[in-house]
Amino acid sequence: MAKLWLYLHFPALQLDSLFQQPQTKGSAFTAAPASRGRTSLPICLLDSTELVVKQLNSTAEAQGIRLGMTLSMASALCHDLQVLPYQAAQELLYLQQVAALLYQKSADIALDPPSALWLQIEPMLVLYGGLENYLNMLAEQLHFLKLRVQMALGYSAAAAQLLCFSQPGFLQDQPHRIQNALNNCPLQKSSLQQSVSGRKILHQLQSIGIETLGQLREIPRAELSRRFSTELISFLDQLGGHQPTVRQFYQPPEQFCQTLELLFQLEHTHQLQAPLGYLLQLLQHYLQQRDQHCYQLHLKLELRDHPPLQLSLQSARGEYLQTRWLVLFQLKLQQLKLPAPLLKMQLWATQTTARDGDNLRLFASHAQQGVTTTGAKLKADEESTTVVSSTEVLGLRSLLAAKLGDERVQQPVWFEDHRPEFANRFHTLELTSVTNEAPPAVAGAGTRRQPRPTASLCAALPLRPGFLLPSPVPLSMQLQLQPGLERIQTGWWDQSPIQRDYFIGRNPQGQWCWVFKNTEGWYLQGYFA
Amino acid sequence: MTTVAELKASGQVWSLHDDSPNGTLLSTGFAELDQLLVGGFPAHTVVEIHSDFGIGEFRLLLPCITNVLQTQLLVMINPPFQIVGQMLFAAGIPCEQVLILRPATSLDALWAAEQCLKSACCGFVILWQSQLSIGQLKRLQLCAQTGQATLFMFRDQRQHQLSLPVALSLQLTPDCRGIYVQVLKRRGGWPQAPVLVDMTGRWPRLSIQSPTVAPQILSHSA
Repeated sequence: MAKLWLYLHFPALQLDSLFQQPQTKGSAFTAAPASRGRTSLPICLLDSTELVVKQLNSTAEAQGIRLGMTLSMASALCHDLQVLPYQAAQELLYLQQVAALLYQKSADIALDPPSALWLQIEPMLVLYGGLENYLNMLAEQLHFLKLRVQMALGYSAAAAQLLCFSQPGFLQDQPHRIQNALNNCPLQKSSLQQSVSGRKILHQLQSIGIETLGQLREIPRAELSRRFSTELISFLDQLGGHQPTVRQFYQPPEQFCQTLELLFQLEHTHQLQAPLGYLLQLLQHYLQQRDQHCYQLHLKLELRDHPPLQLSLQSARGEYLQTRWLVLFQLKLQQLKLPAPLLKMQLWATQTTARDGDNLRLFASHAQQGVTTTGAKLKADEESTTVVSSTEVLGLRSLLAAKLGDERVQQPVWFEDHRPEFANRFHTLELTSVTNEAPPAVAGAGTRRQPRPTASLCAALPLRPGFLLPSPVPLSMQLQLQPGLERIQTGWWDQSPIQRDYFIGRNPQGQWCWVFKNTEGWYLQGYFA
Repeated sequence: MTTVAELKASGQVWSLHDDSPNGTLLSTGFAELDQLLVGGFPAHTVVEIHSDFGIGEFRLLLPCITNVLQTQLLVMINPPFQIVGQMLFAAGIPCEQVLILRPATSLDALWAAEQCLKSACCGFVILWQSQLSIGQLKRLQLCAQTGQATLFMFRDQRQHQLSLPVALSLQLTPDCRGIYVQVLKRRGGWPQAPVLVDMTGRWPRLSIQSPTVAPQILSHSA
């Protein structure tokens, strides 16, 4: 017997995915896309080439607007009708998002663009223990999305599709009932209607008095193949399950990516919180199902008559909770001024890893209560270095970087080089080279781990000032020099050789200065503060 | 009667006979300074230091930080120049434990200081900022208490500034042997004469032992 298929058709996918203003404040779920049945503004989507109504919500339907109506008629019926353009590409994107969500529950999904899905449910019925349980699970998932949906079952993909279009809601799996229902299906509703050649065949069939599938099936196959093109034969083969309709199953993307189109144009950044919260809720759902953390999020804001803005946000410790990300985003958005009204937002995650490090904190010796004054600082214990990269520190760094900007959170690092300019560098919160395997270390990417300072190591280091000027400046003050000098003559191998005699001097204000003399004169380079 | 005892217990009233003021004290690493401060810097609060830049004011804090900082962070907010990691390392502070923040505005700097203080993963926060209101100070003090961190605040030489209710306020003046420390205000203490903190032992090259030796004077104009 052929496999059992479920066809899901979303008659108003783009419209239902529109983000409307939350009706009630509070939980994130109320800030969800437009749900049907709720009294809201009448909205319709207009096909921009034919200028007819393509999708509409229940409020618009109650006002007497029907699919296929012209814009002038629709607006005459309803004075406060909201009209938006229908975009097939956008709808396909939403369809992929629906598929990504359902993929967590059902294995074999195929897209039928622009607004329908096939689910091959035979193997899933064993998992869920029957059709009823499976459909309940599906209803739960679809309820989360708040989409209007029509569905039907069939023993081939084409049969399920035909039944869905002719008898939406047909959910019976007894073969004879399905056959009966199929025989009653009018051919006008079939997939032949979608192509020009198919419409020609339908016209031919109609002119010889064949209206339903049952009538068509009574004609011997040989007769049909003589009179009609192969398209009709393959249509019948697909219906019978002898020829596959679905050639490719859906593969979920590696990354989380969600788009949200707004019904209202937003002009202030603080209004972004509700739609952003909804997107982050979806992200949390996505990450929770995979038991993952996310380190980097990107938000693209599409604006009216303005190039889109893109924000990137990093969390050094990895987050999945909506509330935590929302806090970071709020800090970022506070500094943002929207140059034009916001139409659409897209959120995608680029760095995710498995969430397994949470428990490490239990064993870290992170006792903050009662700072001990016993100085055991200089002993090189490996254990303590792990605490530095503890989640709190990473969380703090993320918070600071979100508010102040990545480049304003720095960490000093030094290299074994005699030239002060080369020995001391900074690096910022870099997470770009973090792989999926390794959580980011505080020391950042690209730098080797530095040894712990030990007494012998520290004693061997030359005396250096605590503060360096950005670049040496010509000396213009009186100094009382300390006896002794330090000559640094190096760097002949990398195009920046120096030859300097360094002195320590005290100026009349009592400042301890680090100065050097080279062939060009005297320069001030730092202070021993 | 009971109320006075209660106030004393909560640390709001003190008398001269109480020799140990409440709170943990962090040894400064300099014997004469410890003596002046009756034990050391007060922990988990705000310490205000009025000083010019470059006279050794940062080195005055280093021994204390090195001793106390175990695995927590040392955060420096708006230091006047580039911090030299090598020098911190030589003082015993690994660079991974140091964060340097350069906020654009002073309000951002205060926000960052609050976040660091209350995060419970910072041991010390050093802030270079002159302007501070009493309300802002109170917030910082609460954060320091919550997160068990100590804030050192470097401010300009005291001119026409309002006296703030800090736990400890010091004024530093340069000297060729080290640094003169004057206590402007100490909770549980009273004014004393300035004390010279001798740095010749720790940094012999950054002190001039006997000013009588004819110094080599360099005069140069750029």
